[in-house]
Amino acid sequence: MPADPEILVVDDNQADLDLLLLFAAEAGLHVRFRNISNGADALHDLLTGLGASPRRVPDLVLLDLGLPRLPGLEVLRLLRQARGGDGVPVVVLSTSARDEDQQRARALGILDYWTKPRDLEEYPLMIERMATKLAQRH
Amino acid sequence: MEGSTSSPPTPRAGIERLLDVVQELSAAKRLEDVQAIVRVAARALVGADGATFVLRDHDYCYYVDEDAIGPLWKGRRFPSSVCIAGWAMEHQQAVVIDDVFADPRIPQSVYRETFVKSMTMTPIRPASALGAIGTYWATPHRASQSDLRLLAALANTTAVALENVRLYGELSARLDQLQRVNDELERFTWVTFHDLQEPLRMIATHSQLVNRDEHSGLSERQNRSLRHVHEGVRRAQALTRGFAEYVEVLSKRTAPREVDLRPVVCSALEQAAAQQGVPIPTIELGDPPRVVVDPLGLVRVLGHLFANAIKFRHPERPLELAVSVTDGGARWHFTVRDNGIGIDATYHRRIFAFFERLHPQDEFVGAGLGLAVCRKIIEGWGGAIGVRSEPGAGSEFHFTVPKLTAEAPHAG
Repeated sequence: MPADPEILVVDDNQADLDLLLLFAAEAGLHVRFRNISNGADALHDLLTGLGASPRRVPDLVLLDLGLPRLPGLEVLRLLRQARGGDGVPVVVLSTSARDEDQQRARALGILDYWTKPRDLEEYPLMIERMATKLAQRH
Repeated sequence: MEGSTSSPPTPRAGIERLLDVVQELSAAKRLEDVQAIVRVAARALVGADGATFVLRDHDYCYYVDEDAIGPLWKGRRFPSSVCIAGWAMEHQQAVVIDDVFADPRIPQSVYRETFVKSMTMTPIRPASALGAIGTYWATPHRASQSDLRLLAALANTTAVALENVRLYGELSARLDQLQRVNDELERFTWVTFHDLQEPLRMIATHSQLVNRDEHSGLSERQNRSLRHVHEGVRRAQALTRGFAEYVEVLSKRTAPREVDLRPVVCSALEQAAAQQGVPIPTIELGDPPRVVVDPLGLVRVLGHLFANAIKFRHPERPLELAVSVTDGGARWHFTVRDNGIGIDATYHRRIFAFFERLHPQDEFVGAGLGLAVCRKIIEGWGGAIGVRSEPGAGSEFHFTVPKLTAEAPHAG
């Protein structure tokens, strides 16, 4: 039986992370979550995985934009410049609904841009979309 | 330093020349422009061999500029007490000197280096002098009364021009300052908005989470309090979003282009329905013309009007929405009609103001900024927005969009 897919959540907000894990569990989503809470460590982790043999890449990266130490857009830009980095599946999950942020992120090649749920009722929907992204990948 | 001795113009030519100079000076925005006009005009008006433009600099006379057959004192400062320009300013009257070497007011050593034999000096704004205009001749010469009148008129016009330069400088500095403050305010608003969203979201979602947990051990009263927390934070979220959008509208506009209104209306309707959490309502649109507009702005305006119609729909009948566009000559007339609960006439103006809300807070959630945003966008286009409505009988929002031509050719 193959291992559960891995989702790397790059976010420093524990409150958001708790809700994500809670609703994923409630939805019965079989995934392994890994959290890195700053941009620099996340980039290092991803680049290390890309360079490893065999290659270790998360099945999905949920990337926040406002991150300590290295902003999300910079993580994305530097990741895309790395060898093989353009194949890492990234969904931006940010507070910002600004067109400007969306455009800049989309220009760097992302699967999707989601704004963080402002209401609890939006969580099941987001988990569903996450499951869809994972299913499309395999 | 240039030119040669010239004969004075006829009185009529002098007046015509003066009229030209008045016009030139009225358009001058910089001190250098005023100097350049005055030095040439002063010399030409009276047919002199040279002219100087002198500004008062505290207790000194500053010879700012000159136009003459030989060098005079351009760039030099003399104490007002030993200088003829200083004398003219202090005594508030023009000076005519036929022989500079016979006049005790003249510092002879300074004049011996020059070609000057005769001269005049006319104060600019005699009452509290800003400076003076000097004219000089290389041969003995007596300036006429009409020369002095022309020079006095030139000096008066120069005074006005100098005042304009000062005001213009102040105005530009003020405008620059205002622009900086404005930019800063915009950035500040964005940052505030963004930084507030995160804590507000945390309060909203986690208060909901505790509230939905049946085993939280909270009493009914505590749960009620938690619901109030959640309601309050939702309102705060709506306010910050509305405020940020309002500010954004001020700074961003897309270039007008010719658009098909059908997709614009559909897109606005989809957004409004998603925002209000309802299925996309049907809409009556007819056969709209193609119009040249700022498309994103129009989507935004229609989106707010549709969201309003959905939010304030009648509880007892299905929502009916209609959009029509008619040709009003110089402008397009848009009408968005609904069959909702309507708005009392008392509020027909207030709804377009910043931060107004008419319905009790616990009945509807909304920050009341949508219509203010609409008005801002439409007025930015040079149009206007208004409403016709009666309570219970639905609302009809009207707005106009001036007809434009597309900024870039648009195939389609």
